[in-house]
Amino acid sequence: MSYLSISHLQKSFNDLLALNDISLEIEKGEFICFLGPSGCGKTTLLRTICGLESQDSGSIIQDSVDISRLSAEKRDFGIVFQSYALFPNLSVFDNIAFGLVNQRRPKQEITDKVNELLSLTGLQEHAQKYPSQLSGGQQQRVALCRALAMEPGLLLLDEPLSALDAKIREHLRREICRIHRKLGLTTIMVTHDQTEAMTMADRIVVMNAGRIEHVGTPEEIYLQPASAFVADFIGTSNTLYGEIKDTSLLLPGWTAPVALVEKRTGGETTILIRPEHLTLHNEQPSGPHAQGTISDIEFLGSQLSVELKLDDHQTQSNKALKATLSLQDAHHLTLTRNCPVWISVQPNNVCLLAEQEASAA
Amino acid sequence: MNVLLKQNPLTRLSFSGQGAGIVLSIIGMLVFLVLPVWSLLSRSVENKDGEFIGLANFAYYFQTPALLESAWNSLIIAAACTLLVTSSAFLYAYALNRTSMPGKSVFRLLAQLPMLAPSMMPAIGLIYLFGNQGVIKEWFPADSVYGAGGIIVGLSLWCFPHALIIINTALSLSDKRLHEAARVMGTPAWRRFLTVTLPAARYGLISAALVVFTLVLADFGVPKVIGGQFDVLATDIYKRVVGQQNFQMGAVVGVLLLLPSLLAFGLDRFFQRKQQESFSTSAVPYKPEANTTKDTLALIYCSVVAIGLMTVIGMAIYASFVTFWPYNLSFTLANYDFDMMDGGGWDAWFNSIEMAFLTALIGSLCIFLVAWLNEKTKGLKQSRNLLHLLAFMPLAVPGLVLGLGYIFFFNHPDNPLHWIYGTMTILVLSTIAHYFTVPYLTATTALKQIPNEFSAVADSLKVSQAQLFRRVTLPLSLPALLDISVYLFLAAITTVSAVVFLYSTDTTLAAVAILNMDEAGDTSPAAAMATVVFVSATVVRLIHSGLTASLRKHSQAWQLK
Ligand SMILES: Nc1ncnc2c1ncn2[C@@H]1O[C@H](COP(=O)(O)OP(=O)(O)O)[C@@H](O)[C@H]1O
Ligand SMILES: [Mg+2]
Repeated sequence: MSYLSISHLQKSFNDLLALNDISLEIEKGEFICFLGPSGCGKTTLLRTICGLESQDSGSIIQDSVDISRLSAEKRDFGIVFQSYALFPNLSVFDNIAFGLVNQRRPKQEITDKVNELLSLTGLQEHAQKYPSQLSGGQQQRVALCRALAMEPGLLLLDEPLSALDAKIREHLRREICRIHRKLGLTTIMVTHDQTEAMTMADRIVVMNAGRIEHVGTPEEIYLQPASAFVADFIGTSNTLYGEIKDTSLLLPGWTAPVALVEKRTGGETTILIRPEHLTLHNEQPSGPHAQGTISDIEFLGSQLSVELKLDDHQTQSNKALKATLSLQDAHHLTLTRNCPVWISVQPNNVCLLAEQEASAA
Repeated sequence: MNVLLKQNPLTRLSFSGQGAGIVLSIIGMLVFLVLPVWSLLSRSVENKDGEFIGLANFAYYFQTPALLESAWNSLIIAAACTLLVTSSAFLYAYALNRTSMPGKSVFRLLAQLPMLAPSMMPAIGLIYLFGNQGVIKEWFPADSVYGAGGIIVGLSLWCFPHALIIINTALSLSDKRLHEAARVMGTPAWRRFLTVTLPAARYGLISAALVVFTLVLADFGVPKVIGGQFDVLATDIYKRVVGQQNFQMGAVVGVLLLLPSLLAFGLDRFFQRKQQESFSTSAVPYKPEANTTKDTLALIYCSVVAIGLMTVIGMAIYASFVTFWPYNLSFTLANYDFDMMDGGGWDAWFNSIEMAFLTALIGSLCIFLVAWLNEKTKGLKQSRNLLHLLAFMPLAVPGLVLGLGYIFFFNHPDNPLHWIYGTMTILVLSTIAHYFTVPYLTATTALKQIPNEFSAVADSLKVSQAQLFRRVTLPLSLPALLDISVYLFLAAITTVSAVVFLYSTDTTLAAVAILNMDEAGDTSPAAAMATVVFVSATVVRLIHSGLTASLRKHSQAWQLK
């Protein structure tokens, strides 16, 4: 059985359904990210898991114990907030030792434990300072130490990096991952930043409007998004409508059907293609392809973003497609506005949405 | 309720400790505030034998011109003082905030002087200045200081700091960027004043006006001392109840006093809500530039006001050391020999100190606890809203009305709390109830600055909420707690309004002694007792400043700059 098992959680604030039938299994030692736009219910789910909010229905089982109706102080977790929430009148040392002192552990044990955590996060020389004397990044590390001091079975992080500068954020990101690897602690982090989730998580839970849209590894989520929402939220994506016939897919404007990697029943379907998976050509390629005209080019540093319009004679929809390519690839091509180009795609880069999703989208 | 508790252990848990606290607080507010006021209301529609007679008492009141006159007088006095105090306090606050005149901190301090004195003290000072034997009695603008003129001046002096605090805050919140924008557009100074300064301060002005109106209507010390034959509602109640033992009519006058206060309170809440909507936290504070003409005028104005305040209070102090005014001006301490006079003696002062000390101690703890329960606990939302509403009610209840309500409620033989009648306990409790709101707001503001995440962190660290309160919340709130306790102490030592109905011969208070001695014609001893109260209050205020400064130094290490 998994370490944390959430089933059919339901929670509303007055009229607003904040959590809508949430079910989720989390294994021991996993690093999970809740990812989604602001207001989608990530914090509410996190707070429900640790008992700071009570669900209307559904159950939570942690380490084989049903904790659904336990109050927060009876549950086993450590928590870190975006705002640090350090006690301003206590030194760094006392902040970290706050819970240990309350349990009347031996003095030596407390000192050892706090020092161990301080050196784990590189804060040894700041032990006697007050929070207001530290930088934001340092304060957040103290908050992390405090959450770890009681050796909880579950670590909860609510947007811990959102209040920090870009540079420090990246640094602390790596540090949290390192600590996670070292301690092997089951960790759930809430974030609205897809890069953060992609780089840190073992598995990502993508949420939208109180529901879970997709659970999977960063790769799965990126390459095989379960819905148009997920594909759109994580990076950018081209949405196309095609028709499946036998084992191939016919796309409007395409010269020939693209072979399908997976088996599907026939009919209309929605597909997603990432901009970097579209290959551009100056001459007509041999395989299935489409022809279009470049409408805009944007220089993004290491990459080039190209917007093009398909010359689709059958349907009136002259949908704009986005393609990105590295500067190196762009070197071999002549790309100017209004010049004609041909595009092709590898069959394994065509992502078919799940059937119910396809009809919804 | 039962079903709900069974279903949800989370609710049950928060109910056990903190929920009980909230329920207890509500019961406390009901017993010491709502029920007494209710007793007063119901007594006003009864006859002497306790039978319900509808509005007959009111009809009688309104058909008796002599009675009606005091209501009319009260309104005139209140309107005049409101106008006078609001405008003069606005100018004073304007000088403090919008000019660069020298000596601002001294002027700020001097303006607070009347808060350290019972309201009778400025009245006594005025008598020595402008009374029949006053040193400069020809200078008084009206015929005689005894009457409307004296009451208006005395009450205006006494209310001045209350209005100043509110207007000062409103002006200091004004946004510099608006002024700069107006300037860049070439708006002349007088238009900037009308279009930027006044609108930004208007809610402060309204609030100050309503506070002054309520204070003036409810004060009884000044008209009692200097009013002569000029009756107002507050002195009328006192006469009906203490003089004639006519409780029904006392209750009727109490209701008449309560109504305008309630109205003022309602208006104030309405405008406060509006202000919160328009207030922006990102305002850039205004920094005045030097302007010789403006600064000189401001300096002259503030000096006149400050010297006026000092003179009136100083006169009362001076007179207390004079052998026989105005014939023998040699120095004496005879007026301080209180034990040789009627009024309660030095015991009255000891009682006052004890009462003020107990009020500060018990009141601070109770009020802070109520604010904490309301601000930091989860669940029981409706009960908490009710508690919050009740906490605002004392602002709308004049002290005399509350005191009278206490007589009706606690002096009732069937009341299980009847025993507190005539004791120190009832003095302390009535004073806490009377002055509940301002400290409650101070505590709430301080607690709002403590992040709610702290309680979640405590839960995760298996630290109880009580421990969190002791080790974090309380230390962080200590400055606010100090402010609260000194506010309560000063209010308790200077108040007469509620306690004048509630003291017994064993619990005479200094402020009541001032009234009684004055009534007996012992004006010099009354001035002496007022001086003793004033000095006690000043000493406490200084101790408070010292404590606050040392606390700030002590906590400097962790305080955000
Ligand atoms: N205590 C609350 N009372 C009412 N509504 C709330 C409360 N907490 C959250 N919500 C609402 O629930 C939704 C989800 O909130 P939240 O979980 O904080 O979103 P996220 O963390 O994903 O940004 C939001 O629409 C929010 O306004
Ligand atoms: Mg959130």
